[in-house]
Amino acid sequence: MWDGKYRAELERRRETAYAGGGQARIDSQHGKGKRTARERLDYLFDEGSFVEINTLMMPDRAGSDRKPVPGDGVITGYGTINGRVVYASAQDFTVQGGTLGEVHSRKICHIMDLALKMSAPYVSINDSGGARIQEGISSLNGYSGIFYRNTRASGIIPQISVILGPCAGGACYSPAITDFVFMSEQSADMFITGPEVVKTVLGESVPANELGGAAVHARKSGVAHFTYPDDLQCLDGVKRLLSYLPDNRSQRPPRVEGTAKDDSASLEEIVPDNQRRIYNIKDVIHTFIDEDSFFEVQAQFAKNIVVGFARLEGETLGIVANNPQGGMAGSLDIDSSEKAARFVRFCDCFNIPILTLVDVPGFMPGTKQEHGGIIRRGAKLLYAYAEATVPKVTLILRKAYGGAYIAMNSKGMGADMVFAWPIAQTAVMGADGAVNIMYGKQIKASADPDAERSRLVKAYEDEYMTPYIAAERGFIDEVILPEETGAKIKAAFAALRNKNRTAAGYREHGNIPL
Amino acid sequence: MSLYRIKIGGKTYEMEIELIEEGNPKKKLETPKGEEPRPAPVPEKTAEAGPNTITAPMPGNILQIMVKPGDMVAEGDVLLLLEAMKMENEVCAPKAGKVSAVFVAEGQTVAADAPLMELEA
Repeated sequence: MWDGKYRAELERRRETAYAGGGQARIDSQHGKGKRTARERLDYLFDEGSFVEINTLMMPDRAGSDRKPVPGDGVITGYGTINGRVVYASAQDFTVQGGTLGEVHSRKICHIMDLALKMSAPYVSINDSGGARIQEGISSLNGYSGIFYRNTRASGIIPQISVILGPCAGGACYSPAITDFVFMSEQSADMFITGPEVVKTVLGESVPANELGGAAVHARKSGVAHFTYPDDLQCLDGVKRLLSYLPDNRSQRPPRVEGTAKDDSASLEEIVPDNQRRIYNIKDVIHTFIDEDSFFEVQAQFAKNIVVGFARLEGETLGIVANNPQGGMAGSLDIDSSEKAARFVRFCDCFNIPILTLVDVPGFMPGTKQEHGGIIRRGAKLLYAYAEATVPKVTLILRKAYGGAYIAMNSKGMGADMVFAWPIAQTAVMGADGAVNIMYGKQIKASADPDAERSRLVKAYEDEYMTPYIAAERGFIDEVILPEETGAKIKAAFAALRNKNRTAAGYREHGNIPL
Repeated sequence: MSLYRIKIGGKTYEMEIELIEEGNPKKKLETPKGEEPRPAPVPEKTAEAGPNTITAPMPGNILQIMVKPGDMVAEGDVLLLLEAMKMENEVCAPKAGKVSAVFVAEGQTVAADAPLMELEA
């Protein structure tokens, strides 16, 4: 038997670490409806599976009378989520406000290095007052180590950020670089400069949650991909998201058996043939995907385009769809282009096939869009689709006009399979605009210009506003009936399953218009 | 609303100044001859719209107005139809409340961000 002192010493040190910032601060955390860092990790991981490492790491206190800082304000380790290995860090707000010091950052960098080496997903739980000012430039250097690793791991392993408290200043840039950001409506704030600085510099008074709360980032900035009322629901969301994703870029997403269905027969009722009428594209999505399998990303941001994960007979699918009911007439604008482009690139990183549902009247016109840079920002969507080598299937439901037709994964941009319904209209522009340009003089010269215009519009619609010219040219592979939709899409993805994905080649990386 | 700091006799005061009306001759010229100026001023910038103002998401034509002042609406209720991009777009209530003012009329053309209605919580 060993002398009892060895055991006692380790237990003493462990107790110090597990006590975090002490009971008073833990109570204060609970009082705000928040969980502690360890409670969050225990909840996120399969029961009892989380293994903490570097529990005893602390700043060097040699020659100073500073008190010990348990774990330096962050807990790191690994475990399983639904049986799959995941690496994680969770900032401990009870210890020095979760501020990021040198040791704190080294712990995070170490766990990220492990995640990347083992090709497993990384989850970062943020709840921190920001840089630890006492540690000065070392704290800033700590952040850069994290951002550097976020970037190097991007596209190799899925990285998920969960904001369950303050995340201010430079700290925001780690979540921003990761693939998905979750925010708690109860406690999360994200901003580069907080309300105090905004007041001092600009004289503008704005409460923290109006500056950078979950609602703002979900609706206006698009920074948050998912928001939930509290800590635990956010963590449930993380578990759900991970169920759609592979562990790394070399794997396929896991198969999750569900209830396959096909209500394509109801599509004729859902989508009106009157092209002025709106409908909700999500009703279309739900007809042929596995029961309850749609997991929408950025549901409240740029609602004119819908993106999200679903399953088709157990296999993960990424869906990008114009939504006529989502506002902006379902057109493409700056926000919707960027939202969809980032989603397409994520899917392409992680072997997730993409289904594109098209009903788009065009790119949104106007000074707001042009001056906002719709040219370079809309270009991201075209770039993302052309760059993506995963299986890509497109269905044109109704309108597909002009540049937006091209952008929405058209045949020429590399779609593997393009379907269209008989009510589809693929054209350079709508009939009214086209007729005014092509026959302006003829209409003016006619005895009854209105009647002449109507006649020409009708003739143009009959001739050109159909899917058949595109089908004759082979830009549409097959015109299908609504009731055939589910079966055709499933068969297409099954046939594309073993698509040969050629690597990017010898360049460093493409130069996406950012 | 702008915040100013002024110094009078060595004492510093903070002053908030709000611009209530701005002389804008260009805007007046745009009003067609013979037409009464609209009762409610329609500012062209969101900056002038309050937190309870429903604004036009894009330029378009007011096709149909479903509510009138005094009506109670629930979150998600359709307030009006805005015809734009050849589509009949719904403008919905972002929250439940009472319609306190309607600034537009059916058939009217509106710019992006033009105030459409006032919705009291």
